[in-house]
Amino acid sequence: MVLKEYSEASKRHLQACEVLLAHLDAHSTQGKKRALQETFYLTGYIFECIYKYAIYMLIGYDPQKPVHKLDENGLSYNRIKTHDLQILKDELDSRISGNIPFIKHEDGIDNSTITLYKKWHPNFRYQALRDIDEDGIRKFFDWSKRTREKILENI
Amino acid sequence: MLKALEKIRRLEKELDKKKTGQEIKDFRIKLHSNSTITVFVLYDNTKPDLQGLAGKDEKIDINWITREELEEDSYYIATFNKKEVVDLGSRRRFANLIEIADKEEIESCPIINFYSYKGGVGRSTTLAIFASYYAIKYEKKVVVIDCDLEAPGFINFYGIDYEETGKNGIVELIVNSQFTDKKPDLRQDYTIEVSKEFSGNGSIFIMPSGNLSTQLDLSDYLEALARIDLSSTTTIRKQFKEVIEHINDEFKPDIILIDNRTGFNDVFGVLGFMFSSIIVGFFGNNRQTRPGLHFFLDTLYKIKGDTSFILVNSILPNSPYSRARKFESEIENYLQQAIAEKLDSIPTFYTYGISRNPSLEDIGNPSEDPNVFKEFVNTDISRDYLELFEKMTELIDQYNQDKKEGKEEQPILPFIEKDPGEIRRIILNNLHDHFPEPYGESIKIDREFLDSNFYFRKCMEDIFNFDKFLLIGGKGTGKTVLYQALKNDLFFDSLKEKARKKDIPFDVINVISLQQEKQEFKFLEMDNLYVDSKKPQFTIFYKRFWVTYIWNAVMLEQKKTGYNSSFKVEEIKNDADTARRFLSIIDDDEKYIQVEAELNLLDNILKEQNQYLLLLFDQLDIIVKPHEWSEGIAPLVNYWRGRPFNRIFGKLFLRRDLFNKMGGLTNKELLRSQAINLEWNTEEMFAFFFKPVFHYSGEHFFQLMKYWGEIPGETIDEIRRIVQNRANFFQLPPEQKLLEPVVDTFFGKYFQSKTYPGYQARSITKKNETYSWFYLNLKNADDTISLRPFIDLIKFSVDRALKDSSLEKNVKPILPADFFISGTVRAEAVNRHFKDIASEKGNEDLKCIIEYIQGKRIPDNLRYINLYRDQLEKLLRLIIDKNPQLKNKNIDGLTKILIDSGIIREQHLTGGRKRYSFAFLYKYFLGLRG
Repeated sequence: MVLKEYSEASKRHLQACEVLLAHLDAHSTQGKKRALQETFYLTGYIFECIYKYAIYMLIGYDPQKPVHKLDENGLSYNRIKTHDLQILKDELDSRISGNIPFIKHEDGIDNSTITLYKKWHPNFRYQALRDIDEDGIRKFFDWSKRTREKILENI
Repeated sequence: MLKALEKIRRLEKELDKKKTGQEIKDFRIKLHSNSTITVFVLYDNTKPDLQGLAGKDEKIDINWITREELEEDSYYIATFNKKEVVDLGSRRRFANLIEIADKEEIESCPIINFYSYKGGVGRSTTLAIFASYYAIKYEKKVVVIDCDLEAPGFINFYGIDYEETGKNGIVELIVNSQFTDKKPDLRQDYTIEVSKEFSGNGSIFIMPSGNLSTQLDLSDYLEALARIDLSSTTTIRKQFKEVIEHINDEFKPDIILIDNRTGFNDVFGVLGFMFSSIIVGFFGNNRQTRPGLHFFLDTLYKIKGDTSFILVNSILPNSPYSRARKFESEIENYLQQAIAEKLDSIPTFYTYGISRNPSLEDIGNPSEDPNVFKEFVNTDISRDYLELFEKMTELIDQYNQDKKEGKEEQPILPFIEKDPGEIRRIILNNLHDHFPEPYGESIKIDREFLDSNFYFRKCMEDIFNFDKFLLIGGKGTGKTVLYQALKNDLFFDSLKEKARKKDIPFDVINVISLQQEKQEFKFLEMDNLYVDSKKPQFTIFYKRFWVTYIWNAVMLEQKKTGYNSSFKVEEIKNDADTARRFLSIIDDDEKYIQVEAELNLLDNILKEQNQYLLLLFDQLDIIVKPHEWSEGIAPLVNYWRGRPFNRIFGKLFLRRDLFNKMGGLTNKELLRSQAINLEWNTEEMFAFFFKPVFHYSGEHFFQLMKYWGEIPGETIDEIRRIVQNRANFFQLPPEQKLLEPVVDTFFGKYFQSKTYPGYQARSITKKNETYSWFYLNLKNADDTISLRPFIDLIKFSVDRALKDSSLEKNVKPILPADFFISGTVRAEAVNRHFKDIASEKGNEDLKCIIEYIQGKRIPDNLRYINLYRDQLEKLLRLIIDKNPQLKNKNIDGLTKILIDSGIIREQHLTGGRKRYSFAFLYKYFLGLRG
């Protein structure tokens, strides 16, 4: 796997979420809940993948070199393969410039979105999110889009 | 050169071709921070062959996108929504800060930022002295923040023992505030109060950069510095803002001074700019500071609008004033070259020079004697510092005033009989009906005209100075008006009176006269004398021609001189008969000697009668063709230079461009001291314009001046006294201190101009000082200013204003800037001026060149204010090829005409390159671009 695939993965997740959200009303209440649950789950990966892509870009990693061979600039693949958005944020924060949501500031972001962001973890593939709120998840997804755009603009 | 950027430029060109050829729909190029490139190509059905676009070893990624994919991805949409094809992405550090977006207003006392690009230019010393000066003289509270984070040092002033105080600074304050929400105690932990010895009845508090007193403190400081995120505008801006708010909250200071040394890459200092009301930039006198100066100027024009800028040329070894003048013109040059083309006008600024002062050199050093500093501030302050400080104080007052106006209710204004809007209309209407005409060549000179419209210039009085025999001026300086007016007895007597030469009996004779009105015809083109023969090679021929001409012209005025020639005197006509008569004298020694003798005799008679005779020569370019001036006019100049008579004085009116290129004169520079310079300056220009305003609308004008309450009553009274007094010829002298209040009332003291569209995503407004704006934006390429564009600009603006319904409103000033800064009006205002220049002898080709540029027939890549030599050559070659009239002309000749007529300026760059810039005046007229 090379670094570009992180960016592509983030885009794939994003498009999948868009499909899910576009057809929400076609489902029953339960179906809608499931679609929202998956949207939440995938949105976290939009963040994760784009963060990873940005970190690799910003350390000037060879685009052709497999990502698991990372061992430069004080970074190892072991550190980067985490799903912990906080750890990835710290690595990205010191390297990127620009006013990037979640990384540099939380201005204008709803508290409920921040809570969802902090709550996100890959374990949600096994467990269900309680209190599924359509509006909250839409906002969470929208912010992932904005963050991705901002990051792509700034690397 | 950066390889990636070079590649991008090539890619852009290639892809542009493909787009034009419809092989692709669109494209964008992005440079990433790791210097790799992504190309986004929008295509329809088939991917065109882009092989070869990316080199084998180059890190270029091509992203093929269909319309459908584009619409699905908001990042793609954002990318293609950008107008710019190339996105250089984000830089690692400060660049994003210089965006003007997200500007935040701050509730604060005035903040003055002392900036320098390099150290050792007197920045901190000047700040320390100003803080003391302001605290002592005005009894004010001053807070100084040391923002020289990389090399803190301000705490060494005022005899502070810093190691003892061990105070934290701004860096610790920012980082500590992230750790705890507790409100910091600035007085206790983060500032040092300066001894009263240095602050008198005021006070000074210093907030250091950080605590460097012990090894541990230093290590903490560096740790804190590393933790300040200099890459995010939002964060750092917020933190900086909080610091300023804390200071205002706790100290309630009168001003905050920021000490700020900032290279290209230091965000903190640049950020400081954004909150400042006044920025004072210090630049030394060597080339090293030039990049910093340019960076500073570039940055300034990207930040908020109501900031005032002062540029200081500092630590000058000697003659600060002349050096500061050079500095000023360097700035003007740069503004014109690099920035002004992005703005709608050349922005105004203030410059000062500060000289090296040995007594200040020890300040801030361990060997410092504190008394020297105190004495300097209290008693010895030198003029250069004082002038700078007074300007700063004035700007601080102005800032406070502006703020107050926005908040408080308007004071009760003095009673006036009419509505101010109505008064404005009356003033403008009167002006419209009696508009001053700079070239009133056919105007009737009577008492009314002299009292109301004619501006008596100081330089005109030099006509009675026997040492000055040349009057040199460009087109539109009023040479011909003066020449004509001198024939008028009323004008002549008035001028004598003004020059205090009333008791000296002068007579005036116009040697050259093209009109047969009231006087004899005196006009003969020199080449009539050698129509069929070869051009004479001997200087003596030309000298004899002129002596003969003078003799003939003077003898025709028998009524004036009372002298009767022994020859039969005939009119000078532009015909073969006169030519033959002239040749018969020039070629015959006997006759010529007699002519000379008659002139000498007349001179003696005048001496006996205690009379003076002035012989005026104008329109010499009609007698001798411009390209023959070196042979034909130089002998005439040399003749009068030799002072041939005791009582007869020649006065030669010469076109500046022709004088400049005339050969055949030795020691030309020395001649300039014998010349009257007819060029106008800003003061005269304003004084000229306001004479009729006062004459026709004086009382109304003073009513508004008083009513608006911005000009002190005593100044208004003084101006009124001067312009109502016949002894002053009802006009203001060319002095800024009298004219500025008048200009401020009429045009407003400041106005906002806008950036040129496309330069920034959002438009930025810049605060301009009206008084200097006119000169900066109307001057010719050779730095002279012509009256015509100024007068026409005002004339057209007044016409527009009178048609505007908002005129009746009670709004300051009389003629708001909106009317005179519009591009259309500015283009129109140059029209007549240009026609005048083009109608001059020898300038016939100008018309072809300019019309061609105006006709928009030249490619866009040549339609620039600034052109390199090869671009100018391309442009002129194109024009020559398309104009049969220019068939035999060469590029050098045309370039010279453009330069000599003040349309372009030539600049020599390093490496032997040359750059040509059009005067900003022509920007709108020619539709030039940035």
